[in-house]
Amino acid sequence: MSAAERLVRVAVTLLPRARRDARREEWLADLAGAEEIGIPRAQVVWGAFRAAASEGARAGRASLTPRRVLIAIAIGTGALVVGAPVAAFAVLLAADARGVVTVEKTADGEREVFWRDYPGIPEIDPAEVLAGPTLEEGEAAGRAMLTEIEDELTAELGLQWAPAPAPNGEDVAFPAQNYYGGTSMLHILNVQSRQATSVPATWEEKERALDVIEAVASRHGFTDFRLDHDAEWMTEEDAIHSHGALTPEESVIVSGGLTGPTGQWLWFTIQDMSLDHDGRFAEEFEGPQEYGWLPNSISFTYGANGLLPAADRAEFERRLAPYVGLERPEPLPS
Amino acid sequence: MAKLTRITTPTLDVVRVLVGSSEPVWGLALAKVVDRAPGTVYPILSRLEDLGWITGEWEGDTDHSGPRRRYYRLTDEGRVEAAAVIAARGRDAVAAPSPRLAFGTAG
Repeated sequence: MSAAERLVRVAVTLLPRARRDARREEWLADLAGAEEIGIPRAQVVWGAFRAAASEGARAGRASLTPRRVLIAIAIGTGALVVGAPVAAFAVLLAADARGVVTVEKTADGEREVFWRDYPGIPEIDPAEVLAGPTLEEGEAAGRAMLTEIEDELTAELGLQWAPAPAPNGEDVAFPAQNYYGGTSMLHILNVQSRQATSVPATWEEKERALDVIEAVASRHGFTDFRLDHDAEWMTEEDAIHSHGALTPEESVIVSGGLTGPTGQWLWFTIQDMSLDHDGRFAEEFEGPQEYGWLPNSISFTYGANGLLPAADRAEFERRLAPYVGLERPEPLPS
Repeated sequence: MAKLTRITTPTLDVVRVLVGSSEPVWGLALAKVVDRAPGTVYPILSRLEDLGWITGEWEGDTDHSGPRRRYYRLTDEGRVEAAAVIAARGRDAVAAPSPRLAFGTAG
């Protein structure tokens, strides 16, 4: 089974059960025939997720927000990119990207700048990339942070841990698109923690868990701790549909993140099905559970949106030279 | 027959192609014809099907193996509603179906 087929099957799990068989067959047939009519297979995958989200929402299931769709994509690919949605979609939609060209004034007149060849990504200053951790250093530090969080949660709350699903095996770094129609030299990094085999029973204990996560992450230079419940884009309806309740205390899912330097991030989720009073989340979780995710658990993902492999530094600087001093244009819509 | 409460340009494009086709149209080919991504067209088809404007059917005998393609056509009621929508938009009559529709027919 190809990765695209696997993703389509994951998309299908977002649908009400009665619709799954038909949509699975339809979208797999479309995937098989996409090249025949000149449509990129990635577009079929993305279309399946959008349609599943749309149908699921109309059928009265939990709101399938972009983040939820991303979670499903991540489960299907093994690349947990929930903190970097743009990066995730760009990987899927790269085949559609058009190059960005700007015109810069020079002493001799004007010159066209072809951003398709830009080696970085729009959101991160290349100077920050060169001054920050390499891909290898980021991964090592991220893994160390995840281990520290697990250890301190074990000490604080007596949690035990089990491996999280890893369909991509040991692969945690993926080439990034540059969002100008080309490929960046930077890499997206996603390192999944193990998953706790249980979830704290009370809100007080969950708050202690959140305190541990924030304390450890802050020691690693991560700041801006936030819960998704408090996000400015979160409406009351979204909170109830995506998390189960208006308040974290009453919610099935408590999630959030912290931001690190050079496009790094830590995302966490606490899932407690004892608060799933109408069974809605349990039904939604059937697909992820098939992949090995535990219904009552705490887990984290460390990630980065653009780190440079150490061996690529010289080549990065060479390719960056034509762009030094230029203002980076807006990225292409993904 | 439920009314469409929100008619976007992509929805209108899809409806126009279906009105102009005497044969059921493969969903993915429809996306190609209207020159829009499946991510735009799939939700439209789903919505139109839920509203009863269109109905889907599986392809019949084929020369390819594997899962069956899903073909869509307007229902009788949907055709009336679609014609009214198109007329209301003051657009030209439905264009002739593109040769790209020729990807086999259902049943």
